[in-house]
Amino acid sequence: MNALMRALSAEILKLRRTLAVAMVWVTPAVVCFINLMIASDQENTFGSLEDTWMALASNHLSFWTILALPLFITLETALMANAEHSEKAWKHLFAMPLPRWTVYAAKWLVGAGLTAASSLVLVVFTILNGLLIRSMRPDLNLSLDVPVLPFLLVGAKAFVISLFILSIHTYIANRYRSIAVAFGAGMVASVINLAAISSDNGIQYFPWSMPASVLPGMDGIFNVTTITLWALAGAAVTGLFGMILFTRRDVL
Amino acid sequence: MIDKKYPDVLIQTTGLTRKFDRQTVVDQLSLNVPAGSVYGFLGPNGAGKTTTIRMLLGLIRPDAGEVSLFGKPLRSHRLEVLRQVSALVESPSLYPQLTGGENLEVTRRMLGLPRQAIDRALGMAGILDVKNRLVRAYSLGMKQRLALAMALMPEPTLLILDEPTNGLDPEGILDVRELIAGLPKNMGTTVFLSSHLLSEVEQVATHIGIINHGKLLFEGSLSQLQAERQQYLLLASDRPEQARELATRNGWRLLPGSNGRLKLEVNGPADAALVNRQLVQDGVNVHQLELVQPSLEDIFMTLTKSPVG
Repeated sequence: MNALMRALSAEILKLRRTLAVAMVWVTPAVVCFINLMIASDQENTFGSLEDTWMALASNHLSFWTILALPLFITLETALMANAEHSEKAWKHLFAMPLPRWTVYAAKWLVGAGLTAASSLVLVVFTILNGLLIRSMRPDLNLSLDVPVLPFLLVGAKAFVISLFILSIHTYIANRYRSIAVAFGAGMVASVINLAAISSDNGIQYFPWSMPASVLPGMDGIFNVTTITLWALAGAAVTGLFGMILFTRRDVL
Repeated sequence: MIDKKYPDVLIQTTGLTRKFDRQTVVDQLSLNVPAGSVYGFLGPNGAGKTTTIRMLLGLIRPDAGEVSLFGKPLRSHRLEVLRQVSALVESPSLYPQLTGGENLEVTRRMLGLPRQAIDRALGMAGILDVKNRLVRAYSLGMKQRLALAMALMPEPTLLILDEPTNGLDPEGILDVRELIAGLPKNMGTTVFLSSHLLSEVEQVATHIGIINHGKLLFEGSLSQLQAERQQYLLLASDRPEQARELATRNGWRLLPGSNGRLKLEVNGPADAALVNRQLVQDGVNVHQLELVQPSLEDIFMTLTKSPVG
């Protein structure tokens, strides 16, 4: 465990001055900006949901869970792995007296940390965006009684489910030297995701679609708890296999 | 200075073999690197040096054979032996968005070393003054020095360096050479140094291993290699074919040719005079006679250019 902590500490230091850190707030900011544009349309009354705050959150979360979150994970894992690939640093890392699995696990943990941080930033930005929209659109009757806890809960659920995607992308990004493979895999998965979301059962089976199950209104259709458990099991199995496969490879 | 808790041979490989696709890159390599030595591992580009180093560090697995470091098999004692080993393999692996000091901090954290190890290593590599500069602003030579500092930071018992002077200016090469030569005495470090330049290695190495096409062609001390320097006679005459025939008939060993001139293995000036006399007596006019003492570079070239069966 001491070795894992040392690898983790080094991994965190490597993030300094990287795009990976900037994306933690840039991605939620883009989601909020799009929603701000939508809200500025006076015709938009935020659907039929009675609770306008939840309707607003639902809009933010749709962008987040269906598109932004999977692409964020693709980008973050690719950037972190590319720091090693581009400088041929694996030979340096794996020649150190540390179990190889700790280096891989540290990358996974940092990826999870960045995703958690970005999810939290999204919740904060959504609330700030709501307050901004409140001043722009008094007709929406947004109260000052912001449902912070439900927002946090939904964000946390989406994060936990997204760990499955993280495990898959951590392996792809670290396994393949070309950053195009990591990005390509994320793009293809995102396109398939759009089709899976619109099918009846896609959300339950396609890892990249699973986070969308937390959206308000999906509760009655899907059992979020079951999907969360599936996602966690998938994250554990994929993460473990990825780690075993990766750490057994020759470092050329 | 060498700690006697270590065996006399720090690196030992037996029958080490590695193939890529169907090509044998390292072939039955058996190395013995004595403790306290600076071992120059020489060979032309593509000879198998880097593949060997990667196997010594456990980065790639051999198809056959075994690596032992500090008398223990690497396969079963990887972490234990790597605690005493440091390496710089090929190009430096640095994070350009971090400063030089931060790059060393990454390694320091992974190895759990004290903080002062960073400044000490940067000082040894002569780049303490650029500690806080981003690595993306470093020159190639500075990056190489930083990578060297990284390798020196844990004060290893065994230091493995793959072409460490790549990218350095003449002054830098001199500094690194001095640093390497002093490591066994100053830090008790055994150095395994790979290079494709004999001229670079012969000035610091106490022992030499020469590899080509994956095979070990020579291993021994520098003085043993020097002892291999066989004198030869270069001879030009008006009738080269007849001279060749006569020399062979008189029992002289012919060496691979040299631009129409005869190249004969001899032992001193007396042999040269005898060859001359024999040829002149048989009517061959000798118009050039040169006794040559080959340099180490000549030996290296001869060894590495010989076809390997």
